Amino acid sequence: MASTLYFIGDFRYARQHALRAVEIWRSGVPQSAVEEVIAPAVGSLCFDALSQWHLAQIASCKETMAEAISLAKELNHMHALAVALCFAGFLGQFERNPADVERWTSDLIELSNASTLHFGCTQARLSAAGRAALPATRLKASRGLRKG
Amino acid sequence: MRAGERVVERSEERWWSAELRRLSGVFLTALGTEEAQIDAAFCEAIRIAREQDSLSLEKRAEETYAEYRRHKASRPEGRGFRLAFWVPSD
Repeated sequence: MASTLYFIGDFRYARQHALRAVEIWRSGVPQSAVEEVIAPAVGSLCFDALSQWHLAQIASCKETMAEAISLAKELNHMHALAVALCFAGFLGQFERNPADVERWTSDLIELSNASTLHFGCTQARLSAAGRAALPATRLKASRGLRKG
Repeated sequence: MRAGERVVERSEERWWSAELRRLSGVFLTALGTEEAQIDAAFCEAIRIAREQDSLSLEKRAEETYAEYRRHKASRPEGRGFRLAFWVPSD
């Protein structure tokens, strides 16, 4: 629900659902027998962070995104980690921070190459394209994108 | 921009709609489009951001619109000027 609400643009409600999902996960509810593509707690933290950015809670949104990345690493869930890195790159773009975009994109490319995650490769290229619009890195990033 | 708006309509993914409208305003300004269209684009960006409670995008749209109005006030006859693509961060 948090992701659907986020993408339709209902950020406050998306955050409420993301927080509730994280709360349920932290309460130790037994895990589903079906393996999720993305660890639900990681995804929820990501959408909480993205929603916080819209709600102008900039400092805490970065902390929440760092928590999502840290949790994905702790769970050793590579796909969830790729998603979290991708969303961290989004936050960098939202903030117009080329250094952050560079950092998360590099990590995502490295992870994708190591784990043959095609999703990660594609998203990293898209993030590089977004980064190209940031003035300080426009030329360098466009060269990187052309190289693919 | 129109292609982007068609994607929004088709997918109903409106999380970046306010920014899409703000950028429309920036490009329409650069093209020297009629003032009413430019105003409409910026006002729509602000309206969407408010409706979605996106304080960050609302602030960004308001700052760009204010910059546009400052340019217009200082050069009433001027058309086709460039606004900052990125609003400087705090």
